Amino acid sequence: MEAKDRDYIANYDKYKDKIYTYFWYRVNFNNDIAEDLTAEVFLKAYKNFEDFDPSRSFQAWIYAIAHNHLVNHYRTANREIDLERAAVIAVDETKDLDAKFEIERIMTTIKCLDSYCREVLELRFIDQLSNSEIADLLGKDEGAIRTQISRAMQILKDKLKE
Amino acid sequence: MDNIDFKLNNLPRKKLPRRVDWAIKSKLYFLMLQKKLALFSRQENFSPALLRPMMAAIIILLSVIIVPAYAYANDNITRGNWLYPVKRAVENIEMNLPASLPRQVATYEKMAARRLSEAEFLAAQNGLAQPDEIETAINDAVGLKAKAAAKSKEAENQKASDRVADIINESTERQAEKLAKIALHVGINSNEELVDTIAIALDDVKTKKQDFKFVNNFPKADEVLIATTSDSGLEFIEDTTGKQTATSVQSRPVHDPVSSSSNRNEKFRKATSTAKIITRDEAEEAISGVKRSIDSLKDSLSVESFPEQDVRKLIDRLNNKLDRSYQAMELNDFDKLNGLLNSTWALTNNAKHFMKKNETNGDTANPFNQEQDNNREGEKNNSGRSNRK
Repeated sequence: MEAKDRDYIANYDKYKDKIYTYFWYRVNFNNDIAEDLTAEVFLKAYKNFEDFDPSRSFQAWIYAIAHNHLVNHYRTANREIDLERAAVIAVDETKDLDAKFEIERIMTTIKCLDSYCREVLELRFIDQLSNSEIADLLGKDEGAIRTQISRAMQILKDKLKE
Repeated sequence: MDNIDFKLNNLPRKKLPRRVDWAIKSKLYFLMLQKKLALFSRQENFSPALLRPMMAAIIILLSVIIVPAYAYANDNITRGNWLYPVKRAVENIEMNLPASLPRQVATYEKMAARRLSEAEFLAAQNGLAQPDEIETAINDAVGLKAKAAAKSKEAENQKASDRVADIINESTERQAEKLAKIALHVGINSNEELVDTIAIALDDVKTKKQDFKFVNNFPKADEVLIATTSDSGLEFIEDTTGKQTATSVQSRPVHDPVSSSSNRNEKFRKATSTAKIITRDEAEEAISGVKRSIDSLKDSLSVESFPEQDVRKLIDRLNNKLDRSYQAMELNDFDKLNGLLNSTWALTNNAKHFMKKNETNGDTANPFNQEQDNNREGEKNNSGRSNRK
């Protein structure tokens, strides 16, 4: 196997769960759709891997592809996220009984925020991207992202106190 | 709420299922091999003498490992595809491997899910697939679920029974979702037999979840199981002294698309599925019950935003079945009557799955671009999820 192909497989193994989680939180926690999207992203990325600049972060690249793919999915699938169902299914994933209620509240509240706040919080805490990576993905300034995350956290805390 | 940061940093993480991982890797290796072959054929120092042994090796590798793996992993390889027998052969090997009882039950459920995925793929082809192909896939899935349920009865103790119950119930929820998606793709205007098959499968899947829980309330050695359901929603276990213990059946509204049947439906279901209608009185009562249910469905649909022509088509279909039921009753053809009422009931219970609600404003699913949200209004979803494969 060529070195480049080996690198791709290694990166695939490293990021497959992250990309799957990325989609899973954004497609109404639907396992089947998230699996399909994950497969499509990695296959699409491989087909364009010749054009990938090795000096660039693979993570940033694959997340950008995933983001664009998700936009296309929303456009063609024309789906809405069911707020209640989203929170309920997220709860199933937690084992600790005390955490369940808390996470349900947090997830429901995040989903109720405006799209920008929701997205930066999801990229920060679900996808665990750094501020610079989020800025790169959304095409914004890193300082603006840092401010937005603080603002979104404050809004989230205020809503949770209500 | 304390420690929001801690909780946010510890949100659930998903792991890509091994089956999907394997499928993706197979496809990647296939693409890599394709690329390599394309490169070889273009090389100047490529010796044609190497071609035959190389091709032989590749063909062997493909046929023994990659092709079966590819066939096995793809939901879009369905009946009619030349790889389908390969796929089923690999599945048969898996089903016949020695395994524990929970593993056997899980395998049957997994195969049922795979049949439903195939049906979903076919249904998403916008009428290009034959209805009987979709029907066959769904009937295969129902058959496999029945095998899983039959196998589950071999559990030797409560713990094993609970374990297989969990496996079946978890699979059943996902399968009900898949069937709902198939129903939406197929639509109410499709071939009647196909619509009936889907509706009955949906009912079957939802009912089995409740029934399964009941069967696995293990009666003790000195107790006798009585599978009766009253209008009050209670089920009874009777011991040898005649003492009865009641447990309640969960009660749900008739036309909730995600619920199983209500208590009234349960009583009727016993009449059609486990104790078939054999007298005219039972037939009249059953038909009246169905008629009431259809009227109730009409009322419930009138306040929801389903397309008018779809609702009209649905009601016409249901009324047509009702008319045929009356005719069957007049002719004392109770077999036909049972079949018609069963399908009518299933369709009444699951009607909403077959129709897509009229689009509303304010779709906020796209978190990145509000303009794209606005542009999406009026766009029709023509391709299903699995179509992308």
